[in-house]
Amino acid sequence: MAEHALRRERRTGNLSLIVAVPVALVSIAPLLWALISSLRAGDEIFAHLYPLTWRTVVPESVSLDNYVAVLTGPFAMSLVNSVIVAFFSVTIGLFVAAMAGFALAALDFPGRGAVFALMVVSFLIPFEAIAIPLSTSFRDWGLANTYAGLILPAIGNGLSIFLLRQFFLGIPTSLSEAARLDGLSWFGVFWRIYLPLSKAPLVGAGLILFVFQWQSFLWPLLIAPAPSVRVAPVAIADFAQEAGVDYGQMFAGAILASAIPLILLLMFQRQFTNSLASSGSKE
Amino acid sequence: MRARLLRRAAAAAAGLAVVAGCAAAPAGDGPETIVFLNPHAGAYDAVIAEFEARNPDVRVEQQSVPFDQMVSQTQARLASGDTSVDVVSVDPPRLAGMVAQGFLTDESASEDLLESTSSQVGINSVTVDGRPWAYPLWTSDAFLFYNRDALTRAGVPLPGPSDADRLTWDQVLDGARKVSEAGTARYGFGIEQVDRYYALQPILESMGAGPGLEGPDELTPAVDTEQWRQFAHWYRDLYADGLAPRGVDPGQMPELFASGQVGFFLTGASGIGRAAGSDLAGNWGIAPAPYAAGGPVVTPTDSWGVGISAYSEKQEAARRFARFVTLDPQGVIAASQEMTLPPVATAAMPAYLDYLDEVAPDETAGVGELLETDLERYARHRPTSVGYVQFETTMNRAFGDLRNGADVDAVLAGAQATLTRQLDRQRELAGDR
Amino acid sequence: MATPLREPAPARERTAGPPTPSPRRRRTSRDVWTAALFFLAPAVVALLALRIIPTLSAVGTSIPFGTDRALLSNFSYIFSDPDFLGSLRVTLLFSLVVNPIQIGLALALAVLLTKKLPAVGLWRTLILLPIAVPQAVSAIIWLVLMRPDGPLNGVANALGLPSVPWLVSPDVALASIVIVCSWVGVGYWMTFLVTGIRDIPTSLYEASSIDGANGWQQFRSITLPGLRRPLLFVLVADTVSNLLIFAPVRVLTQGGPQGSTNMIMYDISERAYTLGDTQAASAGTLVLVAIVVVIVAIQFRLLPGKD
Repeated sequence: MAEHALRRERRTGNLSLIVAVPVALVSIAPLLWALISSLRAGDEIFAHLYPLTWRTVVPESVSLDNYVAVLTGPFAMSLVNSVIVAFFSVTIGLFVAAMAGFALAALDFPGRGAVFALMVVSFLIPFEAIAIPLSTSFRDWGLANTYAGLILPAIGNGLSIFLLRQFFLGIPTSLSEAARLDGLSWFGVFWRIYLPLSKAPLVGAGLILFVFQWQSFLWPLLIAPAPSVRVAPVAIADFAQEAGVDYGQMFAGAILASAIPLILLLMFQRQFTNSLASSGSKE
Repeated sequence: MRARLLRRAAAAAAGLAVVAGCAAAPAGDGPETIVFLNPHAGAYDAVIAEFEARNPDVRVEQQSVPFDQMVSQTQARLASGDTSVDVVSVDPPRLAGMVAQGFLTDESASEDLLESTSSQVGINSVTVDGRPWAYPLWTSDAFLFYNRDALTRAGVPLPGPSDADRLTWDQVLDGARKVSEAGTARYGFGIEQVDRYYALQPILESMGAGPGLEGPDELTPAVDTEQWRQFAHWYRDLYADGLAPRGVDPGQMPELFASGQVGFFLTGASGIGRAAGSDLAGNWGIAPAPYAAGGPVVTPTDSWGVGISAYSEKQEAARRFARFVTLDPQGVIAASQEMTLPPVATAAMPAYLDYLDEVAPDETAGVGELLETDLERYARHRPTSVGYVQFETTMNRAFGDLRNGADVDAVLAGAQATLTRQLDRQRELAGDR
Repeated sequence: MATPLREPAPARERTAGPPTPSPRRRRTSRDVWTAALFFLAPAVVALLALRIIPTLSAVGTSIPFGTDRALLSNFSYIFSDPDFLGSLRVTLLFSLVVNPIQIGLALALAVLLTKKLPAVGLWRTLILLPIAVPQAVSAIIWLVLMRPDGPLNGVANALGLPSVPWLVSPDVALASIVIVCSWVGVGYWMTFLVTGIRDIPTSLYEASSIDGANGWQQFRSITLPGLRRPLLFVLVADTVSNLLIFAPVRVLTQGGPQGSTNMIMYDISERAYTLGDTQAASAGTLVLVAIVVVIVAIQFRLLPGKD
């Protein structure tokens, strides 16, 4: 590669940084504000909203009271519940979705289009609109106030199937045909060829499943209102009481609830990076 | 510690005898678990501990849902015949709708018990078609809080605490304007439950308007009358020049007052605990809710009660619990303190007032008397209508539009049309049953 | 591995028209049938039980069997209801604005954040972070930020700009919802496009660099064609999720002021959860699903990348 091309790349890199950093800051500004608010004591959150002064961003005193209160209350348990539910939703959901995506991309059978249409239609259905009748069925099936009741709806996720199928389609069929000729089973093709080639889309599909579960609010309220299985978004909403909203604790809960995905995302960014390295070796 | 336990036990024995008439525990088996669906996370913890101590055969599992989700959760779960809910918090104006849908048990058998323990206003709040369908727990009232410092510095005299000192709305808004102009608080005036029918109905009726629902079953909307329009202009103008804040929802209003940004603040009993615990402590006061000059004094009333689900398979235990929470003085006091709401059970009132005295001795000095006067003479229930949910939803939205400066005639005509359509629909659906 | 896994299709291969049967199709062997059954069964069972069957039950709910009313009376009711008709209009307007903004920004950021720049993973993560906050809560944060006397207007005033009536003016409120939804969504959709761009072989860029192509030409001739599958995914998924939005509306505006943000899904959920009119809600749900199906079908038909 020519010397000047490298230099050009570095220059555009610095230019990109001028755009990327402000965009990133705008993205997290509301959360930073919530973080600062959660560190304020008493009624300070609403004392310096407007006009903009340095007090709007610097608390009079920093206090961890909200975090102590939140972590010693029922919220702590709900955060654990959320993590458990999200973990199983992602792992089971990913496996089911990857299998379906593989069949729709790699297997050639009549009716494939119809099955794919079913998958697509399934994610066009507003889940909140069918939640009430579905929750009645779940209660009849004995799934009320269980982890299974919370996890199951995430398993049938047409969007993650759609995503994986889109990526699996890019894997040349010649690969699987060759492997089949070498005596590899279909599951072997799926497990040994497709999955290892699709780390980044798998992370993407995992993200879809995680977000579905982490954002879930109405469903857990309907099917799992018992304290032992309560999830974080519901527990956070509980800080809004009739007699007033405890914004300090609510924001502390929100910060804690987003800290867990933040850590996971930073971990999986590394996964993305690996994918970059491997795509470099593809040539 | 030991002495307190003994005292509790003694009170427990006495209370149980009065209220539930010692139900014998079924022999064998573990305790029976009943589920209590409510929007007051934490408020009933002490009551339940007490109840379980006295009723070893019953466990109570709380399913608390966020306050603004209670209506939808009740509707979703009881309409599908969910047998896992035994006891449920009930908002009195929605009672008629719940009864019509068959969600609750008829508690006529408790009529005498209610008569002997509860205030008449409270009993009325749970009565539909002449029969009680739930147990009233709290009642409510409106007060005018004020920021002492903001008023004084603006040269506005502090309002007095008793019925005789009650200000007219004109007087309050004059003072509020002075506060705004002097800049001693950002907003001269604010309403805690802003845009909600509960808070605005008394003002409407004091100005001579009707409640908005009329006819024998209170199913005929009447919200585009001349008096409603007068009120609507008044309400809209509060916000037009920034005397009161736009774009601040009821959840944020207590914070606005507590952080010293509001001069006069129309709120309720539950605001006492919040204000007393804020940075404003010692710098605020309570006055009676204002009235319109030349009009009657009208105050709001009613608060949550406790009902028994018609689908419950454990109604005996559920009833024992519902009675304990609402009628047993010990139970009522524990729940009322958490919410700072006045109890319906007359025996619990003195303890409630003692509690207020403890929380904010100076500010609440006249509150006991005021509560009594308001409840006896001025309290006005919300309409008892199977269409109340539709009515409240539509009107709260209309009030919000007025606050944001929409055209009065268009808003009220629109609300009237929406209500007519929705209540016709309601009748049509009821005809199917 | 010697062969490039994904040959980006040349831009001209934007075939529209009905999908043609695969030329490789031969008699499907029993072995493929068994495999298909094995791989698809869990997903198909889950989707039928958890999505399709409850939707079909909504059809039953929306038709008032056993009453005196006409079979389609619930549909004629919602179509005569100005609130419902208004929600259709608002949803359409919202979709027309929000989708191009979100996808355009997501694409621009994806291109930007696949360049070599310091700490790129950190910037990507921070831009993605809003999706990790439960929307029921993040909307409350925005509710405070967007108050007329809130920090957002504080910033505007400090910059010499006038205050904006974010959520209190019927002319601005929908735009504010667009902002909040984009704040949540752009980083999310960007992530999928980043993954897609990563899969385009770097050799293509290097070759065109040597040929003297500039950034825009590379974007047109390499990035965009190479992204056709992920882009179709993002387009469809984003369109659908924006058509079904309601949590921010519930917290921020409850459909107001004056119905200006009354999105169809909020309208339906109000009927189902607050008013208890499950029949009208089911009818509305079916109308919504029909609209989404039509829009997505058009997208599939018109856009490359479906195969």
